Amino acid sequence: MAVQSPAILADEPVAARVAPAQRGLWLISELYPGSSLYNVFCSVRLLGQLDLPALGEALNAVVARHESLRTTFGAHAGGPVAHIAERLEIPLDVTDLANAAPERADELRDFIQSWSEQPFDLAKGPLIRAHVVRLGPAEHVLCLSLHHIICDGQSMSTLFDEVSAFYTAKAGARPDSDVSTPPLAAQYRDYVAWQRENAPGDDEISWWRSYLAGVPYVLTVPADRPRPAVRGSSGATRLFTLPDQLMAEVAELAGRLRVSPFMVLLGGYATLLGRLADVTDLLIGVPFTHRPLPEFETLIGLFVKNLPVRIDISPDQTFEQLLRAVRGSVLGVLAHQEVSFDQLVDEIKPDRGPGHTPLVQVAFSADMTPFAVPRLAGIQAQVVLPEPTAAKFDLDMSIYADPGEDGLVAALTYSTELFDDESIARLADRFVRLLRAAVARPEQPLGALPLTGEAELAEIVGSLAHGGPAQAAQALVHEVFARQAAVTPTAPAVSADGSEVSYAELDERSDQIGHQLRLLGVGPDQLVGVLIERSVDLVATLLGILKAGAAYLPLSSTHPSAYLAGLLSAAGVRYTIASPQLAHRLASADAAVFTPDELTGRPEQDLPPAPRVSPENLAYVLYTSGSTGVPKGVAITHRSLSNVTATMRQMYELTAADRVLQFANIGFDIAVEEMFPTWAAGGCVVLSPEPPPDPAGMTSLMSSERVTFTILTSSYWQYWVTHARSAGVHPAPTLRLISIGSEPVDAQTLRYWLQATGIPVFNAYGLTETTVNTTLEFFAGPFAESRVPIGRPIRGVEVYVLDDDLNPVPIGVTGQVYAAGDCLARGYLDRPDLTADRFVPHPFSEVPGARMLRTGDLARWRPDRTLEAIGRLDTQLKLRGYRIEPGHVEAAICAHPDVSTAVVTVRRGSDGQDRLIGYVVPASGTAVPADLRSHLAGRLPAYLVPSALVAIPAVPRNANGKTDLHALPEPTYDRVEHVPASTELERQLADVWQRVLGRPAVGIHDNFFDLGGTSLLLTTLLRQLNDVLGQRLPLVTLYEFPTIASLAGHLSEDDRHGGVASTGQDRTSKLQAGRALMAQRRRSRS
Amino acid sequence: MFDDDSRDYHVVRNDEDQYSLWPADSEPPLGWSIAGPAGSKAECLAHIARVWTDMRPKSLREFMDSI
Repeated sequence: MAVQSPAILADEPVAARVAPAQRGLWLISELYPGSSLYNVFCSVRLLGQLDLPALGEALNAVVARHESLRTTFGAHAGGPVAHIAERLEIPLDVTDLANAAPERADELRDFIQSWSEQPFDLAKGPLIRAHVVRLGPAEHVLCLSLHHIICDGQSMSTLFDEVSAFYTAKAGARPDSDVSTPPLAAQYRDYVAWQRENAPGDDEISWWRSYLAGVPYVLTVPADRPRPAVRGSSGATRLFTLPDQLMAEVAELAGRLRVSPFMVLLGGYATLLGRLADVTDLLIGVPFTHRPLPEFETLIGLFVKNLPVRIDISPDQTFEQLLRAVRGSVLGVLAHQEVSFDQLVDEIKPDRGPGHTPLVQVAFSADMTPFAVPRLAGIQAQVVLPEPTAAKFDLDMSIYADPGEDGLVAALTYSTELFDDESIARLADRFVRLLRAAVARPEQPLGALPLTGEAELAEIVGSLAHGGPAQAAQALVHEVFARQAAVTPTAPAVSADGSEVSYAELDERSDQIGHQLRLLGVGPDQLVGVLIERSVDLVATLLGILKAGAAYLPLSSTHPSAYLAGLLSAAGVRYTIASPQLAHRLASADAAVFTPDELTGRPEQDLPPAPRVSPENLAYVLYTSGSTGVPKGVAITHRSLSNVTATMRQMYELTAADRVLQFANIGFDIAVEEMFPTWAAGGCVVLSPEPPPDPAGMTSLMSSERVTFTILTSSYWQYWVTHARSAGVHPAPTLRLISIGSEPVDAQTLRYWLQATGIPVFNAYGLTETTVNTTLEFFAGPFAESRVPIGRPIRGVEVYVLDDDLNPVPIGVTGQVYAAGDCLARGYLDRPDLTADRFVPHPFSEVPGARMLRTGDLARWRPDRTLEAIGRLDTQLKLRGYRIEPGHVEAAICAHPDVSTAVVTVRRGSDGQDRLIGYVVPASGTAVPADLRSHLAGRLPAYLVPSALVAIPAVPRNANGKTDLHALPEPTYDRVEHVPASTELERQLADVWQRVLGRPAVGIHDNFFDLGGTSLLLTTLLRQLNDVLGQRLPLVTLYEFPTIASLAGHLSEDDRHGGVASTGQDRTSKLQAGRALMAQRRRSRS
Repeated sequence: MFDDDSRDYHVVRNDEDQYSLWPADSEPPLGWSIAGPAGSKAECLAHIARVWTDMRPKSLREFMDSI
């Protein structure tokens, strides 16, 4: 980096007022100190003999003309004040890269990059900088960088025009050049004065209130990563061209409908984003140029303000109707643009949080007029527009005339915290495709406009959807077992209570049960009930039932006798096998009850012929509680059981050396996955004792039984791992592999597991109706993501992510999961209506008459082509425009070591406001863990942190085991409780709070913004805090810790770590320390 | 599509005599044909509950009858 010569400042500057838009930018610079976010940068390649002194003089002549270019911004009474220097001379230094060939292009790019990103100090200035890179005797690059607070797009054209005129005059080519630069009739402070005289009145504010009423204040476009808890500004830009033909059609449609091409482009952009985000009403930030008087036209200064444009994109309206509505909306904003963005935010009070920009998260601009090019005498100039590497918004599309070519260029600047380049490339394709379809047939409804291209569509219903050919059901699972018994008769098939049962023994025992059942007339498609504790008897009985050609129906000893009797009679079960200890539970049932012992012994009579079992016959029926509360029996056939058995054996690479824990309740199909693939590989199934061991017991069980592979639900796994971690022990030294799933997996626990144990992990997703597993993802080695994907469909399985109209949703977009293929259950036992409703015609299959299951689960294809589970269709919550998946919040709460389980729901308070409530069952005691809120603040964006955390002794369940939300107690809100300051630090903070807010008593849990705090008050608060505390806190800290309690906690933590520098030190180092601390916090969170 | 109580559906059936629903305003997918009245979802499901008495696929029924 070349050394920049100091600017020459003379005289005392004149203090002046600032424009509201300038105040907004000043606030942002306080929020992101040292950021280059609002640098306006431009470079011009100059070919020809350059008169360098003349160029420097020309630049300074422009600086002398415009007060804006000589303005800096200091602080006064908590707000910004402008200082206008009488005279300012900016240096024009030269960096010589003429000898840098052949790497010149790289060096030039690197130089320009770092030069353009040098932050401005608003208080110190100057806020305009120029530099020349010499590439050769007749080739230079002029770099110009200005802070946005003193310029806008039109200013840059003015700057170029005036520099051209002065240069030409100085270089002596055109002595009459003064003609082109007449004296200015006004200065920027005249505009500031005009704005004050025409300040928005109450009418204006009330127009904006009604304009914005009811619109969601956060637009979440599907991204590669979730929002970080604190938003940064790192970004990148992707350029793409808008074909001339398309732009001609846009212009033609615009003309016909009497709207502007800008409105057509904005309408297309809004439709795209709304459909991707699945909302029908959204806000887009649009820059509006506001030069209300002719004398302001030639001024350099900030005359642009970003204002939210509301667009209703209900899918039923046509694109034509949309464009008329966009015109109305844009014209409405134009007529009410006296207000500044900052004022709006303070008046409207949208959700504030450090994770997103307030009010608008996406922006759009379009300027079709060609960019001004400096015309320097004897020089051929070519403007190179920058590709911003800082993101002011999540997404910012800017369309402008390509300075090099004839056509239009679109630049998509995006937050790299959220998006990867590939997703933005896809977004760009979608924009062009949607726009093309919309202008070609503007009479079609928005919902019919295509989002996906042919290739993407082919992929998502083709290679992505299909997990590969099914495993042919050459042998049924019990036949596979018998074959294995013939090959390795003495190998252990089951280990229970420390003793082992060989394959031959288990084969013989199950044969006997099968034979006895056949003598009773049991055969294919008949159900036999099973009520036995986990034991060798149980597994022998299951195998015996299958060997009789029948299907087993597990019963739970936790169900009341009457319920069991009803179930057996509804399922038409004639025989049930129960252990002697449990048989009495079936006294009232119609079915005949046998104990396993009663079914032993070689039968003396001749056996009926061996059953002929088709792969389409039933293997088992599992009852699950439906959403309606009525339990339904999922009827699984041998075809899908064989497929999943062979597939899981393959995926888990099971061998005869494996010892696999049988931990799942037999009523869950995970038990199937624990047993049959293990036996197919000749391995040993290790029966977990009843009742299930505690975490420490689990670790010792696995060690003593030398368990090599296990399948656990994510929540139990997390509980177990967290426990082992705090006990400082390895959870399972003998494991070579683990499979988890059934519930969302906590990313941090997964990261810890992989790092601490090195044991690879499968994450499995499936439903009972799709036979154990549907999709699978594999993790080995370091894991850095914040969400844990569920992978790709397994063999024999198809997975589709579809919208409400059964259209495949684009990659990245959430839709309902539909599953098809050989995994499908036959249906719900004796429930043709339920079956017909859930197993529906498959529109994408080449197999005539194929069905697919509506799973009710939500998921999306990630750009890396793995699936990410989002939650359940029927539990998704909506809160102030946010879509909230309670499972994600519950998982974050449960990741706290002192929480055993949690339920998250939305409750309406007595003030009519909906709030997110977290009900917490503590692992011990009756109180919510004291640090739970800060634990959540570190894991979740602010809007996902529940307003109240309520301790409950247990999760109330209804008769079917589902959470009974109505039985949850009314919450008491933390913030409603007035808790006065108790420590010295809290009292100091409360004192400042009360002074700044002008309120008598502020409780330590009161949120600054809820008490009427505005962003301007926040900077006042910051300054006063810094005075009182003798520290320099970054403003973002106050967004992160908006209550006295949380800030006091944060400050005392910093004290312990010695993280915040004290007053004496140099300001820059303190800022850097603060930023490093923030970066650290962010890292430790992600 | 299948959760919309306001639209009309057809009862449809495939070659395995399995029943389901399909929106009345569009053609059912390949291998499915209309096999009952059009009406609300509840009406269609009630019809299916009456007529789909053996939930074994037709081919399995035939296989089991043949042995």
